[in-house]
Amino acid sequence: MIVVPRPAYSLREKVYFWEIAKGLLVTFGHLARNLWGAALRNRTIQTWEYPEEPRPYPQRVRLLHRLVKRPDGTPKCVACYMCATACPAVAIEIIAEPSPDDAIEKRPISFVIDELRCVMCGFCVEACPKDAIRMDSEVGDLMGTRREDFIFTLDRLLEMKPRAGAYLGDRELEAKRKAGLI
Amino acid sequence: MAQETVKITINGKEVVAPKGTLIIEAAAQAGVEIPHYCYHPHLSRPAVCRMCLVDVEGQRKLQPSCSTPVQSGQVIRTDSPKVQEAVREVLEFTLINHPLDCPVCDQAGECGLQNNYQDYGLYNTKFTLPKVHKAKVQKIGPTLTLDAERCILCSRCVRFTDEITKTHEMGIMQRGDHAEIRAVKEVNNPYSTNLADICPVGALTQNDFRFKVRVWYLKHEQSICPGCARGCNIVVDHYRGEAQRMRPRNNNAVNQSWMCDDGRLLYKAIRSEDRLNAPMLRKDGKRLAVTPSVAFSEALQLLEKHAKHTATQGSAFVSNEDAFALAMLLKMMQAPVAASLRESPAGWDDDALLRKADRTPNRTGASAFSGTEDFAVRLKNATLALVIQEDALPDRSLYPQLAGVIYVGTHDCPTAKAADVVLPMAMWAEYEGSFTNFQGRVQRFRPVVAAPEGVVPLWQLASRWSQAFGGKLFASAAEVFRAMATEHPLFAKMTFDGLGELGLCAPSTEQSKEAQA
Repeated sequence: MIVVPRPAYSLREKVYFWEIAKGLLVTFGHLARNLWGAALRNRTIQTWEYPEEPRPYPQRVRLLHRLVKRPDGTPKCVACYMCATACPAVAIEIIAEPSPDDAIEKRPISFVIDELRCVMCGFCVEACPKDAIRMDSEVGDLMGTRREDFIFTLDRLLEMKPRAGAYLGDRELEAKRKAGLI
Repeated sequence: MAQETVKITINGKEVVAPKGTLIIEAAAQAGVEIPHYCYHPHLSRPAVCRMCLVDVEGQRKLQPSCSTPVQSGQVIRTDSPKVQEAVREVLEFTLINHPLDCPVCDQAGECGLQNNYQDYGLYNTKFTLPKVHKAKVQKIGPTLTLDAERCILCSRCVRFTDEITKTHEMGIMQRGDHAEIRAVKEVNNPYSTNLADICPVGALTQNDFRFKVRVWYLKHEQSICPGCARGCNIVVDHYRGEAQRMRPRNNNAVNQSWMCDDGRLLYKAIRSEDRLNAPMLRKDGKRLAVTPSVAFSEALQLLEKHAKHTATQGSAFVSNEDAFALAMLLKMMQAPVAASLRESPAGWDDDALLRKADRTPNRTGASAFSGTEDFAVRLKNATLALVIQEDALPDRSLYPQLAGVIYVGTHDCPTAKAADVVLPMAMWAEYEGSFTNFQGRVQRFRPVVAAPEGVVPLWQLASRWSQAFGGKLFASAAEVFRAMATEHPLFAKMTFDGLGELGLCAPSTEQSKEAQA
């Protein structure tokens, strides 16, 4: 067992008033800066006027899922169930069927993600052997009034657009590198 | 005469094995698993896959353990660096032209290549040339799909069709890295699906199970195939409360490692459309669904009123416990014993391998608790008919003196439609019990999926009814079995748990005498 000793209070801390004054100083400092900052459109402001003023996402953020299409528009997914197996929230439900194309062999007839169950861990993206599922869609904040609003079916997932500036994976990067863009 | 044994050392452990045992078998008995593809206990041993190489002291080269018999004093190592390196290289060689399409392969999760790669994989390929491609998704028969690319040429399927079914459908064509497995004619023998079981990779997969469930989601339960009097030992794989497939389980005394294609599809009857899910009463020519307790007491009233004048048709489809509990009920009611069992539905004749013409799973066991008189004869003097499972009374108008008909069964049929009280009962996959096969071997099956709500096995119904006549209420199938073992010589000295995984033969039966001789 490890015993962590509590730090002893100094006299100034015991007196209490000095520490309160210190805290209020910070609070009022922010108030003043926000008041004048908002008026002057100064970016030192401490709060964001969300959602009118969206925050830029970091480069590798995970947003809602989308399914990648093949050039002919069919899903790249082969219904291998890797994502559903990796999912810790049991949010993914897949039903497979034989594909008419023998070279593809297997395809999903139904692919449903319950975004209410999803914990945004990204394991499904990591697990996918076909780079068919990604979490780089445009949608990061989803609002709805019914449960069905959060059930993403195969068609809905295929319609999701990639976010501008999304990291598109190795193949795209490689193409850019060859074109001298990076 | 005691069998001659030899002493060998495997991985530093002393093992005593019968003379003539193969190293791979002796090692398996000692708990040492040797990776293999082409070896199968019930097929010949060509030693082509070279995965089971072991180091035998004194031998310059590594020996294939699947075709080397043990010799006295042998010192064998399966874990030396030399063996590990050899196995890794064999696996590397095997995988050179393998397509690695595990995402779409149904075998993924139970694949010999995947499993062995975990232990012996090279993990970074040295091979840079393009792979040789072969024909994929070939429908080679009603039950099988062949993917020649995934094949590792172990030749198990070739040997199965040559040695077991003797139908010779599979063959290996071409040479070198163009060698390819092919079906030379349609694979349409009654045991074809066994090929999908013995194929160590995803080359041969089962059409019925194709893309249904990933195998790692499946749960397994040991059971007995109810398809014929053979009683093949099986494993039922289930997922989310539904049976998904049936596959054979090794029992050398009954079915070796095989089962027939018709047997494999029997799980479909559990959720078929004509399944009886709720009890029904017939009022004014219409059938009304009622709660189990209403139907139960309605039937009990009939039984009490007509106790001594009840004609009963038992069934060879129900378990030993069911048949015994029914016999106990009739005894308490002082009714005549159940009529003789009905003939098996037609379908096939006995064949040389497994299938028996008698398509009922428990004729031996059920006939121990039924009489010899025909049901039609019994009906002449009866005022109440109690029909179990069989479609024995489709036309009631032949017996105008019948005041009531009670039907207890799993599926709807003309008899059920004409019955006054219909009580559904649990199917073999939904409760615990035992079947006695044609050899007299009592084999246990276990519950796989849940029965429809309120549906119980026949032995529970019968024992609850018999309580009203002063009979004993059994609490479990094991308790029924205990009572049965004291009553009938077929089950003498057996206990429910003692049946184990492979079942037991009563001392009086043929097989048991043969075994002793």
